[in-house]
Amino acid sequence: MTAPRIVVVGAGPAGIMAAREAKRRGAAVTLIDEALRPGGQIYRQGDAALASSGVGLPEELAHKRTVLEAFAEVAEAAEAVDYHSGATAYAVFPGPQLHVALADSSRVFEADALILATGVGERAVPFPGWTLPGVLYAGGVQAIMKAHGVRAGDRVAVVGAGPLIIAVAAQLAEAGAEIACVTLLTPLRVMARRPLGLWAGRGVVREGMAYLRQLRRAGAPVLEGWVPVHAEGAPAVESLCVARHDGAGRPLMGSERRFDVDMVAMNFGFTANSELARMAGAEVRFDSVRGGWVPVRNEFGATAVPGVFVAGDGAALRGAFVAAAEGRIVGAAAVLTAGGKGTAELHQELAAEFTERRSHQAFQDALRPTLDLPSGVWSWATDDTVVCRCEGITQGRLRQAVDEGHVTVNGIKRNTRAGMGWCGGRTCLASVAALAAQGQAGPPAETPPMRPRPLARPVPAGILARREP
Amino acid sequence: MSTETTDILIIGAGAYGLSAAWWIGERDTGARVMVLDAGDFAANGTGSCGAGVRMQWGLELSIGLMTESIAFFEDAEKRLDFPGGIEFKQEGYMMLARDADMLGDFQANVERQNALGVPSRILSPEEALKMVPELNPDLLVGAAFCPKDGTVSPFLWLDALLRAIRRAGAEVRFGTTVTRLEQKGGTIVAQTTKGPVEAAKVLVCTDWAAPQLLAPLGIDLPIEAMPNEAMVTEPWQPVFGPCLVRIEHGLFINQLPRGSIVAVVTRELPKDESSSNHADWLPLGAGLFVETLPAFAHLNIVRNWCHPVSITPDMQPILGEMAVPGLFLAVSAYKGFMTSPAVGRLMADVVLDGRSNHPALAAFNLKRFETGDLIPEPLVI
Ligand SMILES: Cc1cc2nc3c(=O)[nH]c(=O)nc-3n(C[C@H](O)[C@H](O)[C@H](O)COP(=O)(O)OP(=O)(O)OC[C@H]3O[C@@H](n4cnc5c(N)ncnc54)[C@H](O)[C@@H]3O)c2cc1C
Ligand SMILES: Cc1cc2nc3c(=O)[nH]c(=O)nc-3n(C[C@H](O)[C@H](O)[C@H](O)COP(=O)(O)OP(=O)(O)OC[C@H]3O[C@@H](n4cnc5c(N)ncnc54)[C@H](O)[C@@H]3O)c2cc1C
Repeated sequence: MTAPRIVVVGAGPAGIMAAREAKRRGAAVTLIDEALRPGGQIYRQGDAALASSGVGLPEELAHKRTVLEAFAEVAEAAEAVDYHSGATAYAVFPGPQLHVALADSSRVFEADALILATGVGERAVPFPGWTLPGVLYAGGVQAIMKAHGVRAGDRVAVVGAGPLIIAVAAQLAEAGAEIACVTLLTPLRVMARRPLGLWAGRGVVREGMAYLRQLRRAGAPVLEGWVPVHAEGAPAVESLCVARHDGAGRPLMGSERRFDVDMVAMNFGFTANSELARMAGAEVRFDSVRGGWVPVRNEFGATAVPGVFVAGDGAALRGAFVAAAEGRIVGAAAVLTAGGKGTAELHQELAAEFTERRSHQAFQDALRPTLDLPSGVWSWATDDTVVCRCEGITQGRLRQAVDEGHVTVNGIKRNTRAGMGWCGGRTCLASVAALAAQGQAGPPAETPPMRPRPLARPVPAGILARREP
Repeated sequence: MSTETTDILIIGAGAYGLSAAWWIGERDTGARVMVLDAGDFAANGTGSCGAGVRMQWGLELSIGLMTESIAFFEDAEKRLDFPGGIEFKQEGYMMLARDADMLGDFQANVERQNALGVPSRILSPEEALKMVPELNPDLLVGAAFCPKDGTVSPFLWLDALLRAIRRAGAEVRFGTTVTRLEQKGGTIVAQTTKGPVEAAKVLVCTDWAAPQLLAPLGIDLPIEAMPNEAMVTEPWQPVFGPCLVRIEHGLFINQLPRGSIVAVVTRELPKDESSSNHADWLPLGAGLFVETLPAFAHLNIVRNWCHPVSITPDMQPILGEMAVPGLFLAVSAYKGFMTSPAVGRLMADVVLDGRSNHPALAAFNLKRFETGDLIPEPLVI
């Protein structure tokens, strides 16, 4: 029997562990990642030319080493994994075949199994001033620190939801920034509602405590149950106004506090990079906390489309530990399924990995309420707030479309052009979907997302024109 | 489910259906109009099209439809009371000749067009380059050019029509599929996914999907669906003027006022109603784009889409009343966006009066396929 061809997209923890598992089981593995170095988001490596910037706590750096060692194992093996960095997967066609933009040409990779481990992108909730220069995504601020050793601001407000906010604020403080304020939509203590989950994630909880201590030492106010109201400044951000909210996300007038800042780092959760899975024909379901429209899979990561698997955060946001454990499950399952094994055998062979994934998943379930967005957050944008940055479409224009009866994401998109620009809707889709849901008084689950089409990422015409035979 | 009634039911809220609805309203007869569409706003051929409008055609009939339509597009902001307008960038169509033979054909076309009032002319390679400096000079032998042609936003065109007809009292519903048409006494009942609708008159504007609605009534339409594909770049400034055509490749390139460049490549494909992308299209589309405009090889392509167009044996529309009394049809054969203003007007006349003096109506009937009086247009892309 010839070795099954396994093509993995994404060299984060999920993709690296999947590649190693498939390799160990004798598959011919290709690994594609648009970043220049392996690691993914959380384990992002610095520019090769920089001395290691080592952003993060010792525990996290230890996990990072484990994942990067797994990469080294398969990258340096005899008959190594065929690794392409700086390579963008932009389409999936039946086969499955993956279309990839390389440095100077495009190439089609035919696969017996395709493993999509593409991670997540950050989610914004628009508020007045969020498009000012100096208002950045919190994860992006962290990525700049990790990749380039650069601190993007000196006096910073970090606003949003979930534990990433605390981590980024602490890392900025560590890097010497003054933290004007940190706001969290929902207090982190809501996690205590699931003590078993907390126990399962005690390692991560310890990291979180360490970050909070760092912030306390730095004298940074951590305001829980607060939200951004508006950012102001010209030409770039100079101040941020925040307020306590009413429990449903609406700011309570009279409680405002204003902070002078030169940077705002914002994150309100994540959107799964599920475009490739959807293009492959995978069904999706809506889970606002776990990444919006996420692919439907079985416990081995297999979608209903033969040969198409999804692993890690790109399948549903659950963090790096779940991603790594799931990468092993999916990498093994892709090879074993290609070899004709049944589910009972798979369960037996992967019992340890399943146990590990379940334990980390329990912690993620405890985390879940911290990332839940109450409906009131979508009222922050005023009529003149730009929601779709690529096309410059305001909340007022979107609301008008809804009032005129366009209540599906596709209908609103075509009526207003929101989501038709450079980013393909990745930035504004969550806002548009929330508005659409208000328009039809039902959850966005009922409105199908925009139809998946190439290209999952923009690619220069010249590269598409040169397709390798 | 109880049966709703209306006077005129239009099936399909694309350019043809909405334009006909608007012109019916303009006639102010008091007739109640309902428009049903299976999809969302603009989720159709019109919302997928290359957005080009031109009077540079070969036949008098086509030129007539387009002279009228372009005059309407010029005036649409006012006529439809749509402040901001429909983004009509009227900077011409440039048809690039591949060789001296083709340029000779273009010369003959231009003479015929000029005689019919179309202000087209032949451009030298130098003149063409002056209008679009990014053009590949190696491709240039000469070109035909008409300054009245250009591009209109299909989304704004549909939105302008939709708002105007709703203001005039028409009922427009999306997400409602007509599953079957039935004759009942002197009326027609449309069975839909949201219940039956009974109307004295029904106008079918469902493009390539028309045959399946009419076949059960014994009407056999020689219409097929063929997929057509396009891509769009990120926005780029400055914006060049004319739309570009390389007829031998089925290539159409069009830079929208906001800067993004749309490229369509039409090719002979098996008949197919699917709108799935083809795995070999991007290298073809991007290849022709880069060959034509090498300076734009660095532009990012952000989206690639596919949608069927309607194909008829002579690639001309089918317009008019069918053998079933009260049942009307308007299908464009791959130029329904640009011809929609004129076709909407003449269909409104036919539906309301049973007749129109527009020569296109007499010519583009269904009978021609039995009698063999086909009307092939030489300048199809
Ligand atoms: C900016 C950012 C910062 C984050 N910081 C933290 C943090 O501090 N702590 C934490 O616990 N979690 C963090 N997360 C969540 C984090 O994504 C996960 O915990 C973890 O990285 C998930 O692993 P993964 O392998 O599923 O995906 P990732 O690690 O995200 O890896 C996905 C990889 O796929 C590649 N990729 C995606 N699409 C394509 C494509 N079309 N073509 C080619 N390559 C592609 C990407 O380049 C990336 O390397 C962050 C997320 C983001 C977006
Ligand atoms: C890539 C591409 C480029 C093109 N470029 C151009 C161009 O530059 N210029 C030009 O003039 N034309 C162009 N065309 C052709 C043009 O798009 C079509 O001819 C035109 O849009 C047809 O308009 P229509 O209103 O007849 O059909 P459509 O706009 O397709 O509308 C038909 C409507 O009928 C609805 N429908 C169908 N069946 C049912 C049913 N059973 N019940 C209820 N509703 C139903 C559909 O949902 C749809 O909304 C292009 C087409 C494509 C695909």
